[in-house]
Amino acid sequence: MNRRDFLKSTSLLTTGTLFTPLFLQQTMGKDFSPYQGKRLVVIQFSGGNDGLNTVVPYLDDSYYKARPQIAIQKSDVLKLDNDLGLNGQMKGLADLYDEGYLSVINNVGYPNPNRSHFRSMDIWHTASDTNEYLNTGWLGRYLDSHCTSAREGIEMDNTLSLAMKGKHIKGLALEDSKSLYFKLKSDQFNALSEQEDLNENNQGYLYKTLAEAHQSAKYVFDHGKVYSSNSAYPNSNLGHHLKSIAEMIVSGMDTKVYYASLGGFDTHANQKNKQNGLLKDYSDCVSAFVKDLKKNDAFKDTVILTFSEFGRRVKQNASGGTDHGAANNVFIIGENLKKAGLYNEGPNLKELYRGDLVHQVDFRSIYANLLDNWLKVDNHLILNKNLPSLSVV
Amino acid sequence: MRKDYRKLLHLYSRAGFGMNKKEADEVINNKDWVTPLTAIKNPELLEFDLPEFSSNYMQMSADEKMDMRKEMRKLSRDINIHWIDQMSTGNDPLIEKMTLFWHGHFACRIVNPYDAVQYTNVLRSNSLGSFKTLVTEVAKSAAMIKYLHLRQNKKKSPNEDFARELCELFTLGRDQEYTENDVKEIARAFTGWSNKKDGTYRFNERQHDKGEKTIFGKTGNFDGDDVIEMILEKKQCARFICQKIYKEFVHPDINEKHLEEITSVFYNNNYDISILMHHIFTSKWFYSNDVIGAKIKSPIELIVGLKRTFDLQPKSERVWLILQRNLGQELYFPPNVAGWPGDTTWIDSSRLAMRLRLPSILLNNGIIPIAFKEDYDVNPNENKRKMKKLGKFQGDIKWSKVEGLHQEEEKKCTLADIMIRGELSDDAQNYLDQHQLSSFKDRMIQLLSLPEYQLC
Repeated sequence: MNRRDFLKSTSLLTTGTLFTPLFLQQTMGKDFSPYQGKRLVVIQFSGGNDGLNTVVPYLDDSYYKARPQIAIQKSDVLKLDNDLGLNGQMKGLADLYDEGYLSVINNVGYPNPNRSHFRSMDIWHTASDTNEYLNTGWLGRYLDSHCTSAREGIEMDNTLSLAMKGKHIKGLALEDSKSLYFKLKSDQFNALSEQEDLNENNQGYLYKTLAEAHQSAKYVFDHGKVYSSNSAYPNSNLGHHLKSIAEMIVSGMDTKVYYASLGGFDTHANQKNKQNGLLKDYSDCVSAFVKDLKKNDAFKDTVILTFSEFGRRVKQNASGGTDHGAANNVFIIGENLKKAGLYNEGPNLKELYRGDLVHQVDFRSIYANLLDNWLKVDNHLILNKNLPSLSVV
Repeated sequence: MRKDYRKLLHLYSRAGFGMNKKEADEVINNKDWVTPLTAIKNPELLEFDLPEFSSNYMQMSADEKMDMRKEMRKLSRDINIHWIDQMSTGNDPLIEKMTLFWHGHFACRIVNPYDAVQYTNVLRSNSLGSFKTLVTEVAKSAAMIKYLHLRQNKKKSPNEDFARELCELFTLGRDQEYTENDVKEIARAFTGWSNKKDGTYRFNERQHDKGEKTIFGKTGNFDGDDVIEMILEKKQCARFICQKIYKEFVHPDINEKHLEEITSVFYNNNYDISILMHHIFTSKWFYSNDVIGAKIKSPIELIVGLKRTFDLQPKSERVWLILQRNLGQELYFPPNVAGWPGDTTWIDSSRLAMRLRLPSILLNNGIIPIAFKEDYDVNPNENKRKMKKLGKFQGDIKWSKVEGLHQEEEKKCTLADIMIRGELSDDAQNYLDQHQLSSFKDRMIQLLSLPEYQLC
């Protein structure tokens, strides 16, 4: 494939111009038509978020018995339905719940849970079985099957997660809309991104990736000049990252999947303060993000998935923290959910397996639903598993 | 470039971490380049002073335990950096290269510094020795016993973790000539393999299942050593190891004819790794044009290569850890028991940008961008300033010395010939022709920023 064909295959496919906002036309030219399809935003809690102190079973005595020091008190809970309430720090998320924009899926996990952060995170990233090692991520395989360019999957970081790596297409990792562009900004890189004959060996692969990176970085950089959000986001990493994502979305970029992470959830000691701070950060950020998107008429095409690699042990430990556990809750946020509110029953603290919650929903059923009904691609092609699909979106 | 230089530099880029012009000149006229690389009698070990092992961890208070763990983490970091140093300065390049290879093959996550040193030296001592001894010693190392739950593998409740990976990843390859039932029975054969508190191997007689097992269709009361023996009798084991060696040392795409050839050499010589490597490095096909420069350097190859070329001594040695993490290959921290998948998986757009920028960052004392998402127990917002500080690369490069080691000779070997393996693309060649720089440092950075420098 020569460079011209390669660029042609990855250039902007124009979708039907329904309505291009004036500010977009002014910056991107009259012929520009913004991407109008669906987008998925994934937010990862790294370290194993304690789900029980996030979605609290505040009427369950065994919850308070198991956690004499660190349970969230009834008075600090934002009540949802049935016997569950949100951690009091998550006012923004509770509002989303009340508006019908949040679905809480309880007891999510997978068979034979692994308690290593890294392995369990890999399992969530690759959607593999516990005893299977895959080198591609579920979103990467979506990019492979459905997209043509790296920029269609963007992660807010300096390095790309396994989730975003396909066999042929690997997403783009960037700190903000400008960083990658400046990293590659030099006469030498510019000149070498113009390589005409790409051979099929590793040298060709490097040149092809360079051309791709160059093109994507410029695309993101140009779009970065279009819309600058004036909404108030928390001054935190996640706040900056979600703000960047909102700006990219509103600027009409054709990115289908965005990825952001919040770390620090490995709370073996002094959990309460640490986790409360992180949950507040998350809740404030997501709340600002949704408002920003709504204001720009972009929320209807966006769904946000929030997950962690595992939950934590039901019983607290002696250091005022919790150890690695198994099943956990997952959040889906969107404007027109099939099933908002509590998707299923809360955790059963009477029936534990070796002190851990037992999963009832396989996380891959959630992926299947997002792939089938949101990103519109047959989940079997991506997951290669035969699991029932949930119906959240 | 003169053909002999081309071959020699290629050999050292695969059997080591590269060589400079001065080193090449010292070797170029020798009749035999390969034997000094492959015939190593007493491999250097990783020398690292650990404090006396204290076994009263259980009696410590919570605070003491916390301090102890902190100290352990620090020691583990130091060992990692020490290994990077060892790779760039070791006397026997192939020992260094093989040790790194075996670390990826017997992939193991290690947090305990005592285990790390023990495991590394098991690999080093046997990296060019007998594969049989290597497998056996790795299986007896504390690192592997812990990582694959051999300690939990007991007579009454076998744990199949090690048995499965032994077949699937270490010797035969997935679903090759073993059954699920073999895995079950092999787990029984390995019951009782355990280690003492200080990490030395201990066979726990009481936990060993002495009963009859049926493995690969044979019945007897086999133990772990018997199983290894039985696996090695299968030629598939030699083939599987040779596949991995070929991909790592020769070419990412396997040539079946060459594979059969080296499989037979390995099998017929009783799994002698040194003989296998000698055969590869003396084969005509190893020096063919499509092999030279065909491999994407692993992050460790890239980092160690740069460190070696410029004798990099950064003020804060922790940048070596940050780089490993950033580029996706951290020693003692493979993604999982299958090791690093390698080849094109090292590269995505963002990582390529980072790798292409790396030489100019390191050689100009720039700032290394840092990834935040790997922090599981640190709040990223508190950490930012500290990370910024960590990312500063303050290396002290003696440019005149480097220049002395890279003296060009127009007819034999130019600077581009020394630094780049394989043919330059037309674009790269044109670019160099059109942008001729005069200062040695600028030329060096220009060459190292070419995509071709990512290959070896």
